[in-house]
Amino acid sequence: MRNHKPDVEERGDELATLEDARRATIAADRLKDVRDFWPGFAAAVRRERGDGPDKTGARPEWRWILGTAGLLALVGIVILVPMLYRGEPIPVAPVERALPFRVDSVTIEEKPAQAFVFHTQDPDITYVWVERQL
Amino acid sequence: MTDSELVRKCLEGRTDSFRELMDKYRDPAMAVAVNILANREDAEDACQEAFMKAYRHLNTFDAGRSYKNWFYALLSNHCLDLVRKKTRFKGFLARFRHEEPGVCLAAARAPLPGEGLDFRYLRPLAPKERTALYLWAQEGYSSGEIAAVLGCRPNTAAVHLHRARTKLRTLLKETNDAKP
Repeated sequence: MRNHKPDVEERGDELATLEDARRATIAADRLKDVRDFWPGFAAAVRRERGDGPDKTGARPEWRWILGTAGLLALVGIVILVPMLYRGEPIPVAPVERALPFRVDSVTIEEKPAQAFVFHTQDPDITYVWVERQL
Repeated sequence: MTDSELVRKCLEGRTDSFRELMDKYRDPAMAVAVNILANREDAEDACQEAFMKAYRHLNTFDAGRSYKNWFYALLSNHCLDLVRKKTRFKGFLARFRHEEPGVCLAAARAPLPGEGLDFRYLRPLAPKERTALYLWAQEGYSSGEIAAVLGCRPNTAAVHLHRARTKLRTLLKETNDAKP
């Protein structure tokens, strides 16, 4: 009976009418400025085919070359560096006393900010990091 | 050029032919997705993915049948799948919040100014009921055609439609918005 009911015309006010349903649902012409799906689609197809730049901007053939070169460089570092410094301690530059450097006050957009001073082993290089106070 | 011809050209490697299909079905696809998902942003993402899926599976399209119905079936399946995933995720989150999972059947609320589309009568319906209601009301589909899109028997599609219309009528009565 229930399956038959939607096809029966005389069903009182139990069911929403076609007009009600049209008002409740969203017609295609009510959707404004629908996104163009083509650019995203075309980019995905190119990526799948491998005939275009990927997210890194590298072409497929270059990806292999760059990957192999990177791997070789890594192997070289892992093998060669211990060989070069075998038995000898890796020289560490003596920490020289950094010149007195102090930040008294700092502001960002006219509001007090926090400053961090990092002295490096090189006496000529000092990093200062300034950030907004939360 | 017919849809089947455009599909054939796509299968021959002319991707541009797919653009014609995409342009033709962009707005109707968005309408189907918006009505199922009741959310515009989700619908746009779903359409983007469904077009890609359709392109990948074009070889399974039977040229003797309607491309529109084939695409609608694929799109609605994709949207219903998203709804299921979202519901599962909500259920997962609810475990931590000690809330009851499931779709909120709160009273219909009118859209706020600037909110755009009015989903107040769609959200209380189940996703398959929304699909059936939209296809019947806006596309003029019969129970048989709705069944082909939903991948169920015509009787089951008729039940979805019947439930949607009953719920909608109740909602309209509650909000005194029904046309006599």
